[in-house]
Amino acid sequence: MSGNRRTTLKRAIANLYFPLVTVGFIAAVYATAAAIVGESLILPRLGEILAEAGKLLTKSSFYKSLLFTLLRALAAFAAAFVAGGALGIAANASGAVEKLLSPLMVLLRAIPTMAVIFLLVLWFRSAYAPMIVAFTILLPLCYAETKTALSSLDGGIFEMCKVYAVPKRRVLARFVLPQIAPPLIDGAAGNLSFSVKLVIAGEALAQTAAGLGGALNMANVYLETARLMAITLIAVVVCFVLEFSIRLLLLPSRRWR
Amino acid sequence: MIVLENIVKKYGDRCVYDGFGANFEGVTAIFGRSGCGKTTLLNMVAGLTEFDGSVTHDGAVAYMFQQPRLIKNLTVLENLVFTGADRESAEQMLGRVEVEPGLYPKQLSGGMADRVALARAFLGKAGALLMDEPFRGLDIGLKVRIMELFRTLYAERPCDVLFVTHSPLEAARLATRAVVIDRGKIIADLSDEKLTEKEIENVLVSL
Repeated sequence: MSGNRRTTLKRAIANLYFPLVTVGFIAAVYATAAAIVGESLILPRLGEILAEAGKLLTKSSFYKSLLFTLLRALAAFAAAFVAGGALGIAANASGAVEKLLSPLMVLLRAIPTMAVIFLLVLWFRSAYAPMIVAFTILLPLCYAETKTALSSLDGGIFEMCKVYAVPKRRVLARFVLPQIAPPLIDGAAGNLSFSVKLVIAGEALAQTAAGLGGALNMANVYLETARLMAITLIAVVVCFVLEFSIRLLLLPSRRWR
Repeated sequence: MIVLENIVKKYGDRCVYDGFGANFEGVTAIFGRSGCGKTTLLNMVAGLTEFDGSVTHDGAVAYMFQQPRLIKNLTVLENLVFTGADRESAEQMLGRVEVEPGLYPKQLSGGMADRVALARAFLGKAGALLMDEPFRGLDIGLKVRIMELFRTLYAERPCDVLFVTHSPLEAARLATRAVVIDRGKIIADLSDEKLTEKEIENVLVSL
């Protein structure tokens, strides 16, 4: 690893200190609230939640649920990223396409999330509904992010390329893709986490058997608050790891940004 | 030689050039009020804007824009290679303009970025070089240094140059001819002994 890259990685890890302080603060507030309430059914103590999380992590069925949720979230995100990206490119290239797509995107953004979840859960099988829910909600986000990334490219550079007769393939590979990648990766990191959240919500409402949402639903039905919180905690940690891993892809662009 | 014949250029209802024609050879400084069509003239020669009429020139075109227009994700060396220069010539040229090849555009001062743009313009061995207020915003010391650099490079690789400027000093130092454009026509044309800073100032003041 080169010196520069090592320094950048160190800086990225150093940036974790501030989020850790925030997490510590939230944990302290929660622990105080749990001590004041003193009722495990409403606010279980941190120790109980961590013990429950530890138990869950020893069960293979839990890993299966986690895997299915992640696969659904990944599939929904990938489909939204590709479709939203393609539509964003088309809209950026043609004003007519943008005008055609605009009402659809406004509609998708405006529909209340819960309405989408209820309807799709009603229309599709419980295994697929959470994926379609996440796709439907992520699509306009990916579309807007692609369009914004493309429109932020410096038009003057395209003129310079035309004057110097730079081949289009080189313009794409050395200018367009490297410059739109950072905002797209940044958006993708957040969207993937959001996809996990949406899939879990969809699974919970669709009562999907294999998935964290289904497990949350069961914990809710049996009033297992500590388990409910433990599953939530694990989902948060997984989202954080996913987001952090994707943001590592931004490290090479720090040299020029 | 850069030859413009029967040029008609309109922006909506506003006609900037109506049957304009001119030949430019050597280094020509172009003066004129803001909005009179100086940059439009360069853009027509570069093929960056639509117009009626014909423009011909020898060889390829190089263009020093008002901004250096360097690609920020590429190093200075990569920027030069991007526009078609071979690595070795690009490195040599960067040595001559005294810019480190591994720097990124965000690490360059205004003067350094301009020198890179100048290097790019001369690397292509163009037949026509267009410069749109290339030394704008530079302090006088830096401006003189970059103008000297231009003269050196131009002496080695002569071509037909059109450069838009508001500075009689730049024109007197670099140009072999200076023209003033107004309402789509050349209204003053200076060369030889009349091409002095004072003479150009007098013409511009009289407008």
